[in-house]
Amino acid sequence: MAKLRYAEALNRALREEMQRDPLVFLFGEDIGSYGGVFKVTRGLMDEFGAARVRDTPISEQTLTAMAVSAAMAGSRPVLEIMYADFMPLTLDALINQASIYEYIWADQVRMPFVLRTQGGGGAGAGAQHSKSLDSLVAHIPGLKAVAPATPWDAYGLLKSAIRDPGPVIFLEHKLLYNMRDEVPDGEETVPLGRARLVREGTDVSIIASSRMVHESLLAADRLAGEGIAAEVVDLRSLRPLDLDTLLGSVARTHHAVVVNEGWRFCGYAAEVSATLMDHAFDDLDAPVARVTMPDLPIPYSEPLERAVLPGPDEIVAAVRRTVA
Amino acid sequence: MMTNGPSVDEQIEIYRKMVVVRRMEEALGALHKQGGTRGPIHRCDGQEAVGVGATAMLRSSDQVTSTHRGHAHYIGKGLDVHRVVAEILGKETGYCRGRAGHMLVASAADGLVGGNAIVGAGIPAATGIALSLQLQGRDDVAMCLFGDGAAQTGICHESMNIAALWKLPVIFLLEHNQYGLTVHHAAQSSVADLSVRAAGYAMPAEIVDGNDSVAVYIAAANAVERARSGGGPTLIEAKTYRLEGFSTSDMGGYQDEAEIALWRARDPLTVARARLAGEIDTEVLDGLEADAAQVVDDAFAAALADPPPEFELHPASAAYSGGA
Amino acid sequence: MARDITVSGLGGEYMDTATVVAWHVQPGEAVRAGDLLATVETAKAATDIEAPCDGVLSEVCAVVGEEVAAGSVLGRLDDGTADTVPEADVSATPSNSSQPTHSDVSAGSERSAGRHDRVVASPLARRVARDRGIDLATVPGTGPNGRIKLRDVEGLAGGDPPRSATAVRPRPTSARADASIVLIHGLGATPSIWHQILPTLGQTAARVERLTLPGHGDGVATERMDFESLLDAMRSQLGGRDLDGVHLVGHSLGGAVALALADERPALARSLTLIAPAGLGPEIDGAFLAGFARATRPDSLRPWLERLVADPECLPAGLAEAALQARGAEPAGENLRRLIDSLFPDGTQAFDLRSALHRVRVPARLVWGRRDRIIPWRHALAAPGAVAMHLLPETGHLPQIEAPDLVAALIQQTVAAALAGP
Repeated sequence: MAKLRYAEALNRALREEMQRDPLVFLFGEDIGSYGGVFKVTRGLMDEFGAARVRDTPISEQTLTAMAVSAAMAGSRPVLEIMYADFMPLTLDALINQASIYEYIWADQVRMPFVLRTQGGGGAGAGAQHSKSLDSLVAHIPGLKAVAPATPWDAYGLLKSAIRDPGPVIFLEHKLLYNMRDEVPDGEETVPLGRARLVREGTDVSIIASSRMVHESLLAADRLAGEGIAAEVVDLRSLRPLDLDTLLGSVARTHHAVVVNEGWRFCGYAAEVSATLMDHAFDDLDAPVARVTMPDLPIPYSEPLERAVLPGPDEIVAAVRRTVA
Repeated sequence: MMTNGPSVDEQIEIYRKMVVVRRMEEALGALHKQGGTRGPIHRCDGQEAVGVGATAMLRSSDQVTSTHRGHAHYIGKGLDVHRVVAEILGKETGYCRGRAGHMLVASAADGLVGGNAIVGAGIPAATGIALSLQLQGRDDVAMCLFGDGAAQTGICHESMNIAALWKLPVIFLLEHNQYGLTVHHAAQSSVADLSVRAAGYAMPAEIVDGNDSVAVYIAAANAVERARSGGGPTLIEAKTYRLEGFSTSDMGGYQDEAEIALWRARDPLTVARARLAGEIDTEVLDGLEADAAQVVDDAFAAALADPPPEFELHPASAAYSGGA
Repeated sequence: MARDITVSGLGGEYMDTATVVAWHVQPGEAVRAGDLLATVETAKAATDIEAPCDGVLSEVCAVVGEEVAAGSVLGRLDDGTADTVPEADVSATPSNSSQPTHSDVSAGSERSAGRHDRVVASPLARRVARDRGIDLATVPGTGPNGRIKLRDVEGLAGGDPPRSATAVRPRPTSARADASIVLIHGLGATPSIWHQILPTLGQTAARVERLTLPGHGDGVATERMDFESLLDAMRSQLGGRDLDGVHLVGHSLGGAVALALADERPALARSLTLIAPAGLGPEIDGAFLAGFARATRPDSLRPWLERLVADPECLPAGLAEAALQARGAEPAGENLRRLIDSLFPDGTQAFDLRSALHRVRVPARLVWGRRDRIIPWRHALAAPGAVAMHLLPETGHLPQIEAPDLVAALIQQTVAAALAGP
């Protein structure tokens, strides 16, 4: 089985989907001749030409609206928004356009587009280039949102996202691009809306996505040393949420800790927590705990940034409180 | 590459549709006074020559994006009067089964996608459609009808730059009715003629009399021809006037009476009829007007009797992939 | 050791709070099991609290005039035995020396002061305790804030087995022959309302019985016209049918009657099909009830009959005449008005069977027309997940007449599901 970096896995998925379907095209800032600032689109302009791999002006609002309408007109656009922090510029197109048409126009149109972006802190990029805005996009009905944690899922989920008949927001993480791990040799997709049980355990379910899955695994190792067997669930899809896997895990462990790199108040972890309350109340032996960023902008200096980002210490502490 | 004006038959059809739109607006105004409509209605009385004249030469596979004041665009693009009225009245038989209302009507089969109540949002939408048409190698075009208010948005600038940069097959048809809600154009724009901005994008532009359907037709036909043949976008500024206020909830008082009287004297229906009077008999025109009024009466009678829709949840709302 | 005196389970299903009216024993006084300790008053009635065992009243937690939640501790009775911690509790708790014992908790200020009215337990611990009949008030909690967790109730033996464990299941059988379908009509109707679905049902069951509500078309002035009198009449018409069980089908008010019968006699109902039943919400078309009961002539009855269906075309010609004839001479109208006055005062459904629907353990099905103008179909949303729900488009309050084939098929499916067993 081949081992690829996360960015290479994404690149391979894009290449295969462009080869498979001539309606797929890529556009975004610096994705063409430069290959993208994180090199996800490297080599694709050479292979597919400047029409299907387009460098664009810095016009996120319009580019996102164009992805919506180009999809409606029959194309399968994949738009790259360089940083998740720029997502606020895309919101009219997502909230007032993409999310409404299928329902409001009574199923007359489909919008098969993918908006790729990357977020997350830890790289010293400061308050406007480090955010995790999962709840912002997962909040919007009519959109799907995925956040792969591994090269395998990055590859398989991107292929599924491109083939999906509706809009998909694809959330990458800047600290994962260099992570090297197995990807399938043959063509294989990972279905949207399916979580993955990364590690089995009996005492607590740690529910995470993207980079927080790896932090949760580190925490689970430490907890094992204390005699606490933590299960780790990688959500993979933020919306639709894989309720069956979540409920199955909590039914076994009766304790849940939700980890998300974004803000706490009205954040993604709050939604997962409320969902468990809705569906698994009588399975819970303790309140669902959340591990998130504090409600602050992300500071620049390394000790400050490290202090606000959730990591194994915070996760271990939350688990201890939960199983107490 | 100059298009001849519309044939007499085409002029008759344009005039007929303009009368249909006017009778529809008047009927909606009357129904609103009786409490028979829901929410605000944005009438386009006085602007019919733009919506009908600009769309008269389009194919059904050409794609039009519209505004919150789109009734003339709907009828011009060939939508059925009864189904438009049914949508405005929130009936199951409307184009969008009552989900859209009068500001968001769409008919994908007729290439009208669609009304839009976010001012300016139709501009990048048409631009994205044009990109898709260009990539698919289709010789269809996209046309964006938008107002002088929308011309002041950032996405208008972004879209025109991108469309001109990539020579996209799109026609920007600026329906200049002098008012952005209650504020006169002079208080919103640094220039009197918005078409001068096209020079900044190296895009051809012209100003036409928006109350003369023949003038609008000729300008639009030339732009459509340019777009179809790969010549890129055109900006047409059609000067017209909004006779009936912003919406049915408008208290009025900010439009000068003398100004209104001046434009009423140049009512687009009067202008069109006078032009046709030299070509065909008065009785024929009278009959045509009576027929158009009958079509509208029948449409309202049928729509008022149509059943209301019943609420159902829609897959677009799905938040979970499994379980309840 | 101290035994809690609780108000749990004393006021019936609907009680959630009670007010202490009187203490009949002073702290320090000795009592015998069964002695009157206190009186509490719920929204429904005053209830006497008796001593659960011999002992001495050691503590009063709720004073006279205090409102307490169901399940909370009113006081404690010392039965003279030594304090013990259940064995399972010791084994399930980490060997932590600061672990609170039961006596720690009750001696501390927490229960007797701020939180004495509520047992703090995790949802899971509550569920397990409920299922095993464990009184949580007797369980020491070892979680944060003394919260009772799963480990605290695991391994504890309970008292009475819970209702769900004893819920009656349909007897396994495959014989069609012993399946009897019982149909109960609605307000102001007669058994002929089932006419169109009878032939199909006859192929399903050995017997199809149509019951008649009292005061309906029998020309007899009925002394009592209330819900209980309807149930009485049905009980006597059904006799000792519990032995075999029947498949109950009820329409409108008859649906409410069927549901109430199934609830009070779980052995009777093997399945339940409720067509636009009453009893699942407060709304009902008051104008219809008044006009329907008042009508004495075909012309005044016909518009109300038309309101029963989505499409008046489906009503048989001459129905109004036939209905009045079947209603018979007075006192039928008077019976009807008295029944309406008792069941639906001021155009409101004054009785509520939603909790009964939640207790149903046999295959159950709701059939409702989405154009029902008499009882809104949205009442169907009160059903628990196990109840099948069929919302019929373009159908009013009489699905058995407006969509007879479908209704017959749905009754057959309910019966088949019961025969197939769980």
